[in-house]
Amino acid sequence: MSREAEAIRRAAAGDGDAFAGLIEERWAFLVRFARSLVGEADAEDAVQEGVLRAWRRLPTLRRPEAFGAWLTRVVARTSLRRARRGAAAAGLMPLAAAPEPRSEPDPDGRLDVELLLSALAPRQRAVMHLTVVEGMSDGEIARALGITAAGVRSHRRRARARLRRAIEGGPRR
Amino acid sequence: MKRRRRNRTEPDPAPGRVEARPESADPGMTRSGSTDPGVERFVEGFRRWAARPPRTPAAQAAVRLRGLLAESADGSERRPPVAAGRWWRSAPTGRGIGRRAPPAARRWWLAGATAALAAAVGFWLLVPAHPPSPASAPATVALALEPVAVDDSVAVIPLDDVTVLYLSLGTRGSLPAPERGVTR
Repeated sequence: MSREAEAIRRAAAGDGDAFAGLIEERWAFLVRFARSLVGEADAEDAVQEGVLRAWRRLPTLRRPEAFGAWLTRVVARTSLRRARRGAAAAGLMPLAAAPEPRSEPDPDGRLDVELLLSALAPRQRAVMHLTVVEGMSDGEIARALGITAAGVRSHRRRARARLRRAIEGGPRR
Repeated sequence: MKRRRRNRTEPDPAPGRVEARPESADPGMTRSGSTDPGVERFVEGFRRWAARPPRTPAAQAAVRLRGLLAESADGSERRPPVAAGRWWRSAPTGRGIGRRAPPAARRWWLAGATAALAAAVGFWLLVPAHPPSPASAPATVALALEPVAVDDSVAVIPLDDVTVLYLSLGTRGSLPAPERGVTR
């Protein structure tokens, strides 16, 4: 049994230290992911909420080898719920409600990533993050978000179309 | 036109682990030379934006988590603590409907609701909605009335000015159960 599998087994049996160790290894990944969904201000709270939820439900995990994808899914659901509660509260402003550009466009035409992300639906942000930042395959993203691979491709296609429209018509800086 | 089916079941070399596999992601979003330069610029910026480290280092987050889990170990049930001021806004008090109640309070709440439901069902089953009245025994009433016309097969019994009860008789001299109802 590998070290990680042993840690998962001990965590499922109620060993908090083992669970904290597993989370420590994935902390940066989970915070990066949550940040794309709910914004910088709410990301760590969302991860902590998801992690505590995962701790409660860990004894119900049937396949310990799927712990990583399962944990990502729990955090994703928590973050998506927070994101849906209100983009303003989550720190990402809806594009339609956005004020004037905060600064003049840069000479090199850099895009305001956060503003463009706010143009996407929360699940589209999740798919885009796992695709372009984490480089995960459609199958891995599907398992992490609890949707089908076709759903992943559909979300990505729509996200790309929305981004294209936002870039063409939206503000830059 | 038939579409070629794709095998959506992709082998996972390390199940449960999130591994970077850029070669399998969407080419239009991950590789340079995208057909859409604007989206490609966004992808580059997105990568830089998302790559920033968390505000709280992983080691510090783990220490905090250990503390939270240690606090929860005092309880009889495996339930780590949630943020203060959250759990009591739940079902027992009617505030924050849909939020999770603490297990102990939830058990009491469920027990109370179940007892109330059982009492309501029992009352409904045991106590009839309308007590029986003489009018609820039409056969008795019909037998007490005098038939106005009787032949070999039918007895005609007036119930009131407009209602007449026809009884189909099987054998002369006997009074079988009515086969036809009240007609007007």
